Amino acid sequence: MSAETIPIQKDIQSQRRAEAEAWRRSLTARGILCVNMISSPGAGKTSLLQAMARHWSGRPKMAVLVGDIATDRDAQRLAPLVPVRQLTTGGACHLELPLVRNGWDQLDQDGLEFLFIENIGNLVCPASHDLGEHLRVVVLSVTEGDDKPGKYPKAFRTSQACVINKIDLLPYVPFSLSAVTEDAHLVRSDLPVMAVSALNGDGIAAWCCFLVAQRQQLLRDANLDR
Amino acid sequence: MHERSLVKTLIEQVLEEGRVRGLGRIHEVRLQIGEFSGVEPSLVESAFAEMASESWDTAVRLTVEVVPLTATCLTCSEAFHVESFRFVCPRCGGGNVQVTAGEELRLVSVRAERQTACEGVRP
Repeated sequence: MSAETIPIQKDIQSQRRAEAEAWRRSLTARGILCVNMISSPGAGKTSLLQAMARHWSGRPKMAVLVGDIATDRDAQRLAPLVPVRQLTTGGACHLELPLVRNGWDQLDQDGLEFLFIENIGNLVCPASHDLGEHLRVVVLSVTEGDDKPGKYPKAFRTSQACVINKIDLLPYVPFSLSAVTEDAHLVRSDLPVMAVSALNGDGIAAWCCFLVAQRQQLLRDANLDR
Repeated sequence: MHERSLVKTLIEQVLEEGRVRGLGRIHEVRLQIGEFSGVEPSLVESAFAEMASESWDTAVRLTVEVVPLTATCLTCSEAFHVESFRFVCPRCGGGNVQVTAGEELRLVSVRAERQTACEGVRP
């Protein structure tokens, strides 16, 4: 029997895309802005979330799903401040939607306005996985070097904001804020770049303001601002 | 690192298409991988070689076509290949560009034998 070519033309990620889109819509309908935070290990995602939680101190209401390969250390750091669930991947280098949904089901969701997903520390694979977020934020710390946007283009191209963390260390490391911004803008020309120090609080108020404005825009777009 | 889970999805979809379309032995699977899909073709090929033998008794060949990353400038309408992942228009220097190809992971076609209800009777 002879073989013939059968055209299929199917996006093999179409089902995953549809699932992420459906979850994004359900969060939008509840007025929750979902933020997926990606970075390399140690860039300060958890410290940034701690600083934001202290700045907001309960209003607006935020919760965190925090991913790690092992341990619940990040969840322990955040638990005194906000509702949090640890997602443990057992080795996988990025979060996928089913694990996120599982953690979400166990969260205190009452009156929630912001959901933050702290991804596994990795600037590669998390950039390829839609977790149903409204906003992807790439966090880069000044000790990592200002040449990273061009080296990890997908992480920066697919993000809607970039946070440069640990700016309190700028006097001690060869890192240029203007160089990193220029490099990031070659990958995505409209990427907002915000400089903060989670340690001493510099820039945290402006960053939180940015997020509040993003949520207001989401509510306006969805006609939920009444 | 996620090439294996991707190949698992690919094989599941080929098997599903085979069921739905009533296909017999599969000889070849054709896949398009975008230059900016975040997936490494050689890792997909080696994962497929290993995992295909768990799903099929006979050899199935994977043919990968890499799709170049291209974009259109929304300022001056120039269509161009994105060099070195710099999303900047080579004509006007603007950064307001839209990707037109290079992000896909597409099951293009399979080469297979058709199962017919009355084997041996040909039109």
